[in-house]
Amino acid sequence: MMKTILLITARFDPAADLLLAELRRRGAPCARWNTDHFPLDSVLTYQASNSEFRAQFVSDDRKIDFAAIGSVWWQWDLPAGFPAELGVEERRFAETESQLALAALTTIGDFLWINHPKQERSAKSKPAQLFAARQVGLDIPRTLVTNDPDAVRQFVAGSGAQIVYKGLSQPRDVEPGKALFTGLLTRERLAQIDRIRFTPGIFQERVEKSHELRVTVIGSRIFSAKIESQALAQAALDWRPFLQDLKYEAIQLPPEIEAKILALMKIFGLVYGAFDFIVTPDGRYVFLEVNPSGQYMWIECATGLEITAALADALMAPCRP
Amino acid sequence: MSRLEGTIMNAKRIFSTNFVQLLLGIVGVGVVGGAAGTAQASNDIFARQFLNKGAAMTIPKMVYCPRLQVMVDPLTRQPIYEKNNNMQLAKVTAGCSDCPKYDD
Repeated sequence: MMKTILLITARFDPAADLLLAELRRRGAPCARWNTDHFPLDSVLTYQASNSEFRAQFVSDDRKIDFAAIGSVWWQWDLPAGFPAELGVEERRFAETESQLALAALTTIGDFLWINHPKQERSAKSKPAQLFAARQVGLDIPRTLVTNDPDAVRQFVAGSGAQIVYKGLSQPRDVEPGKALFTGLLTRERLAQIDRIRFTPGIFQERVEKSHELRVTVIGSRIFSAKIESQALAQAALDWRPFLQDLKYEAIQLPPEIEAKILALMKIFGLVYGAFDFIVTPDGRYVFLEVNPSGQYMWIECATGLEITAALADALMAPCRP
Repeated sequence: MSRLEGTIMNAKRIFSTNFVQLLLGIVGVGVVGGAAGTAQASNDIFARQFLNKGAAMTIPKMVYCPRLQVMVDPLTRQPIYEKNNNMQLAKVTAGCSDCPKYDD
């Protein structure tokens, strides 16, 4: 009997909706667990004794034994389903208890994780990514990651290129409706550099672009898309706010770049990764970052690359008898 | 308000108001913003100079269907995200501050 594919995610996850539709079209047993509403809306139970260890959850009126799971698509494990009337301290305790209850899932089963939470968390570090990219021979921009204002000043003074600033993560709710984008480190902005003491940041030499790439990797399958970011002046530095206005094209990467990408995936133990590259006017491929939970729906829609199908393939493979 | 509370509140906002909601149109509004708490606490962070608006986008009204385990139209009960052939819908994950899948 085929094992079940489990999607651990949140209620609003359109990519999970698509993936479930694909798995159901194929007749694959699958279930979803929205842990953003755990523990109020679902139940998790472990039974341990000298003779056995069992784990099961009940969600959306479905009872699933973890012994029946073959693979897990992991997107979310931050429990947030708590009664509003809980006090601050009670809530903090409830969050910790719930997180620790969920955390055991990464240990108890022999499933395929896409991605394993531990691997994903270590791969999210941008300095770690640059370290690994360099190790596998990928071209990277000259970069400084620091909270030392003097180091930034020296980096700027010693560089012949323009410098861009990037965050190590994406802030939430800093200003409603706004997000952090890559920006040029102008003279005016550099004048505020002492503030970097509070939040280490990424300072990088600006790399001249012919175009950019979004490369989505699932196992050993690589889906590459060209992004014509330089066709739109506003998108030249950071295309993300203008993705609706850009042209995309499915392409094939040179084999040596693909090999390096797969080597980087192996270092981090990732099954899924969404890479960003710059291709320079003289044809160099410059690695910017890998997003272990990178989005793919828009690029699949724009290019026809069958990423959801590849994810379904990867998740179904270990579930077959 | 913790970021988890914020997430729930944001999700409620998405699903419980009018027919069309505006979301921030960027790739990379993370669900788990590691620096978020710090950023929110002070007007003095360096990163504030690099905050910009993303493109606005619209998403249809939807509710979670426990039977199908996907988002459905509240009137027709048809799944919203069943095929990936509509860029207006597909780009939502590229601009959703409450979606699990995100870029930093």
